[in-house]
Amino acid sequence: MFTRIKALVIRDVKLVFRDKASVFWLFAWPILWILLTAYVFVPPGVGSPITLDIGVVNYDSSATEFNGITLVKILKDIELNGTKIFKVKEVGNETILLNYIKKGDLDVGIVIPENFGKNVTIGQTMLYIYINARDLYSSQIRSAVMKSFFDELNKRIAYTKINYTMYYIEKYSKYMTWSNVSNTQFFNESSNFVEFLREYFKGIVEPINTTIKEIKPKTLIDRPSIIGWYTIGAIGMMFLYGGFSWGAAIIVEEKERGTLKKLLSTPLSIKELFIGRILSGIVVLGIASIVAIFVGLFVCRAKIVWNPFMPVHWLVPVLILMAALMSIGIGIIISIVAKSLKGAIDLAVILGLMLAFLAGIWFPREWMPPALQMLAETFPITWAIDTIRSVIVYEAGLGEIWLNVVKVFVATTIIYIIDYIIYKAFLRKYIEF
Amino acid sequence: MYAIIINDVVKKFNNRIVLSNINLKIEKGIVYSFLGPNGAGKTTLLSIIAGLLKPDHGKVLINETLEPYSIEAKKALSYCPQEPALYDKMTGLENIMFYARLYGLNDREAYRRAKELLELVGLWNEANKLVGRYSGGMKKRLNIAISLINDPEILLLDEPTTGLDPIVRRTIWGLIEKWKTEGKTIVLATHYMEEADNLSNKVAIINEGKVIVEGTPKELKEKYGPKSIVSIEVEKPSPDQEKLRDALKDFSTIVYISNNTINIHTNDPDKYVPSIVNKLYSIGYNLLSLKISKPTLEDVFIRLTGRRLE
Repeated sequence: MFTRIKALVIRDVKLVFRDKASVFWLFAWPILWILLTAYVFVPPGVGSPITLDIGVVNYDSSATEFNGITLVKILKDIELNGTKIFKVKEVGNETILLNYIKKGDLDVGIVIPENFGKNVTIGQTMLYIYINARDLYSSQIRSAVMKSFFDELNKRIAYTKINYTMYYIEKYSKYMTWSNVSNTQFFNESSNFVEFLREYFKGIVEPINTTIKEIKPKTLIDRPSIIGWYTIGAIGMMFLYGGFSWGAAIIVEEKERGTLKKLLSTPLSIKELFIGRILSGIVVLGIASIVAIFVGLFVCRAKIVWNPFMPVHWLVPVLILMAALMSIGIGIIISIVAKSLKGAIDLAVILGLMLAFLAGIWFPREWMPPALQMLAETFPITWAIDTIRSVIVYEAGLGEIWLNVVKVFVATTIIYIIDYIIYKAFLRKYIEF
Repeated sequence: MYAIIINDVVKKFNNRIVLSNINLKIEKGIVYSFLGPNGAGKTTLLSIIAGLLKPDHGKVLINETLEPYSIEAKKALSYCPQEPALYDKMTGLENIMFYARLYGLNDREAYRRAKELLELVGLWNEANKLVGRYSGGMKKRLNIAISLINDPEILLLDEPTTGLDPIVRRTIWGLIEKWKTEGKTIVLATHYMEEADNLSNKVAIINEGKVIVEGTPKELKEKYGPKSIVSIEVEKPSPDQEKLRDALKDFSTIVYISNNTINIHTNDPDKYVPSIVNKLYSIGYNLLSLKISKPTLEDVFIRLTGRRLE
């Protein structure tokens, strides 16, 4: 039995590698998607602070400590994690500035009006900011960056002004009669009124001092981890159309090739033919998966966490096997509605590609509308792919994934019971046994 | 000792009877031909012997005891389908090695046997070429070589030379003769009278799912054939065969035209040939040549069914 199944596997692997279309779909297509992800969708530099090209027109010549020149210097010097936030270009007038923005040469334009320094020192000043709104996504980012910068600058100016104010209040406090203002529920005579005022002014500047921290999965923060996530997605996508079409071909391919009768006139049984064809599919999909992982890891620098000393990580190859088995199994079910080999494969590829994009394999399910999220939640191959990602991307433990693993095993078993019934029924059309 | 026993086999497809009460016993070590026109049921009968189809009634035994679909029977016989069961994107050697593994041969033994058979059918020099680049004749020879990979006792050949040129056909006939001398039982389904006549120890003539007669080619020709066939080549045979038959009815009941030749079955050529010639001249034929020959199996078939094999 083993020799006969081995013969089928060797034959199928040779036939796949000699068929240009199969090589393209099983190897080139997923690699293409991994490369697109790594160098187009998540290009190098993602995760680093962005740098905005800004143009500044400075009409201010105030003789104050803080003025337009000071603001330009701050804009030029400010860094985040060692990266300059702004690349500053000084521009002669507002018209030239707006032209640069319209042409797309600048992301942001700032116009510092006359008396900016004087007004900011003694009261409030105006400042004009122009955002390049060529597309919604970029303009939102640019606005957010500028707003954050000026919120922080305003705060710091306000604190500086408080410090100046408090300096004079403290200096002249001995001439003041504090008991006249001490009758409040928040202040009594034993308190230091100067300190009270300092805190009060801070409250005017920043009534609520918020602390915001983004909590992201440790492994998804950086580009390599994102590429790792999509590498698994590319394998899942390849399983869908590749496995579906392999399964869809199992029954009719030998018949259309004219080899079915000859094969079954040898000691090869229909059960061995079934097992052999499925095993061939697993081997081919397995090789394609290894190639995809290799490209993800060594060409695109994907981060895939797999530690052979952690027992839960050994579930990953098992789950890949289950996903491949399920995809081939679903392909066999698909073949019921097809009338020919070509029809079966075409249907399988179309359905596979659609599900890859709609069932949470390629795009995160959170991006999907609710109906498609339901599809992703009930599609067994998505369970397997999600569980693989949970282990090697999110570093989940057995406690978090065991239920999904059980669901994957049960689904695979049910699919194959249905498949064998279909396989025998279909084969009876051509061969009596 | 019988290689194959076919006992009262009936086979229907969609309530249409394609084989009707077939009873045959095929001795070991002979070439046995099923001779009949296309659609006579020869391939269906071979498929039943090969264990690919089940009879609706009756049974087939291989080596007197084995059910055809048992593993033992499948190891003892080999089925060579009419259309080569080959993979175009594999080489000739890979194709034959694949089938060798299906019979459980290890790689070393499979290679040795593949080489031996490819040399036998004259394909060893082309062994590493993709089958997709083989000619039709090369594919047929490879198909036959594959059928011998398990060194079967019984070889079922379905129309092994259909569509081949005469040289390749003769090569395959030579191989069949060779295997016969090695003691293999060869069952041949063919609609080529010459093939069955030259190669077979025994022939069963099948028509419309029934075995009409069975025997050695010599027996059949003696028993059912005419004494002689008078073949007269004419310049332009009339398309009206009824008129021709009517003109020659006093000399023979069986007259048919093949290409430009009028064939007349007769038991006394010496007596009738001059009259036949005169008659043909009188109805306007220009005669080119005349030949008197012994009957063939096709003549037997025509005698029994009233129609030609092809």
